[in-house]
Amino acid sequence: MKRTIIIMLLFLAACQNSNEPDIMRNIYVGTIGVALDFINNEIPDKVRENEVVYYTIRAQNRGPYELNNARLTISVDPGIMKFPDGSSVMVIDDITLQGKSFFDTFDDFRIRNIPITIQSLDETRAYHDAEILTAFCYDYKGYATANVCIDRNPQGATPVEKTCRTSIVLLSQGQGGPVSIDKIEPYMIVEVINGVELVRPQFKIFVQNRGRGVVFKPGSIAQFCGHGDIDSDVYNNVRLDNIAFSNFNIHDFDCLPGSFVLKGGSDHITCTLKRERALQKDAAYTTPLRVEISYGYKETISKELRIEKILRR
Amino acid sequence: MKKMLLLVLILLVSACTDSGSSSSTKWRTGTDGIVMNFVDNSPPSQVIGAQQVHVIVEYYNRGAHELTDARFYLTGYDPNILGFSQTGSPRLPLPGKSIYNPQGSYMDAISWTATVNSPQRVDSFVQDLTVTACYKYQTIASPEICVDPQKFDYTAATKCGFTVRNLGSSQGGPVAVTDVKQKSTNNRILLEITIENKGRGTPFTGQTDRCHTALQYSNINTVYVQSVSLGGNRNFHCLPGNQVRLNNGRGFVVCETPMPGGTYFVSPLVITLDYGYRQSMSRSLTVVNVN
Repeated sequence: MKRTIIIMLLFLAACQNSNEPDIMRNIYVGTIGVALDFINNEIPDKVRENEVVYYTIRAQNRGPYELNNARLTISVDPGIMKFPDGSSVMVIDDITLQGKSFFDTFDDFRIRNIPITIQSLDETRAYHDAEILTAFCYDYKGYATANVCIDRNPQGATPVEKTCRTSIVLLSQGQGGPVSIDKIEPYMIVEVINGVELVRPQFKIFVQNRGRGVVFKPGSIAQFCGHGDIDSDVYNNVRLDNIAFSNFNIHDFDCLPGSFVLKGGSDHITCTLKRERALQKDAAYTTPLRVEISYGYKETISKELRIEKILRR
Repeated sequence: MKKMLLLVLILLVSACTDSGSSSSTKWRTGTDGIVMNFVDNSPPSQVIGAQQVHVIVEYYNRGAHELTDARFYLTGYDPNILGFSQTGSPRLPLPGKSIYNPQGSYMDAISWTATVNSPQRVDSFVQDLTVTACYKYQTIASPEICVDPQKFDYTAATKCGFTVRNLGSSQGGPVAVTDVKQKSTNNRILLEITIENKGRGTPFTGQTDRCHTALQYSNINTVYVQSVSLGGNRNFHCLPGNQVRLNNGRGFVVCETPMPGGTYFVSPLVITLDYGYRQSMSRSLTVVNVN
């Protein structure tokens, strides 16, 4: 009988606790997009002439954005090493890698195992230090969210109670890619439009290359990671795809300049809500400001090999 | 042993003595008007994706004035994300303290419901939920004053033993009369009345509708002195006017009436203040996006 009562009490106690744990999983964080590595460092540092080396490279998408047209380029020292087709440059196109999602936080990857034939060294040298260069070019995105205060009475013309106040938002954790939106400076401009005081929110968006790779204009993989000339406007170019809050998007903003050009690794764009979309004075509110950027990125990795001559007596 | 029994008896008898008389007679006390709070988990601190959000506010009238038109407004959030169908409440009546109910009103509640319309490609974001109560209120202070027409007559047989008493520091409303100084002359009774905002909100004059956004600076921190009367029939005239501005939560008004003849007398002074009152509370809601 006692046991029954205790069990009943335990059931009751279990029923009372309705506090569920908070769920929080941020996938749009980090400053790495695609990471290149040699699995377990299995490529030897020293090889002999005429040997076949298996060059194993892994490209891992650690960010939340999908890749679908990436290019892997592997270059070897011509005359010293060659790929099975006899060339010294191998290009693998249209690599697809999934991005992370809320329910799937797995880092999608591709592994390429490529045989490289070492050629004979000439008679004059006992060894040769060669290098295998690998470049991975991909188009990537950056989605930043900043909780901003839309203060529709910024100068306090009327004693409206303020739930929030406009302040600078720092986004130091990145958005899951090497180019990150680091800071957003909101400013509420009061303007008299058609005799009415209205508010035009303005956002200064700061972007930075936080990786070790090179940024280029999205959609320029073939140009940037192939042979040929590179136009100056391709280099370091980041496109602003969208800026949105409430029911406004990029079409409701005047943004200057039109795209980011990362001089010294960083740049900013200022977007102001158009005059015809200006806000009526009212209570302040908090809302997520979404900023979306696109860019191309070139990640490189190299492997040094000492090729030794097979000495014969 | 007998001593101990006697002690227990005394304790029991003292416990049975009615101690509620003082609280029921002094019901015009306290600095609360509306007291409100969010119901636990409404809103919760976190919601997932397109979940429904309930904001439930329970409120009481803890002051000594009957509410007839209290209104509550919900703001601070982005209406494109949280689509509450209504942001304001209808006019809500609620009785206050009275001699028969010295505790104040029963609990009442108001609620808002919305479905989260979460933007795409966002991990999580914060929405503020601020509830502002706007209501008209009245504070009635009723101290006793001793008026002495023969104050400066040294030959008068009797004199007042006090000038003002039983004012108290609050009168059952967020705005209180905290001091009354009597400065009489031969032919006039002058009262310097100190008024203070002792609540956590903002007093104002004017309409209560949309007090969270519609007020002007000329409206806020002002109180209207509706009447100052002595013995129910002698009205005071107040200077500089009946609208008193509170500076740092405190204001003064000087009211006067002709001095009656005769000997000193003690009479109830009734000071009635009318004002609107605005008070707010906030809570943050984190929306976690699972899209």
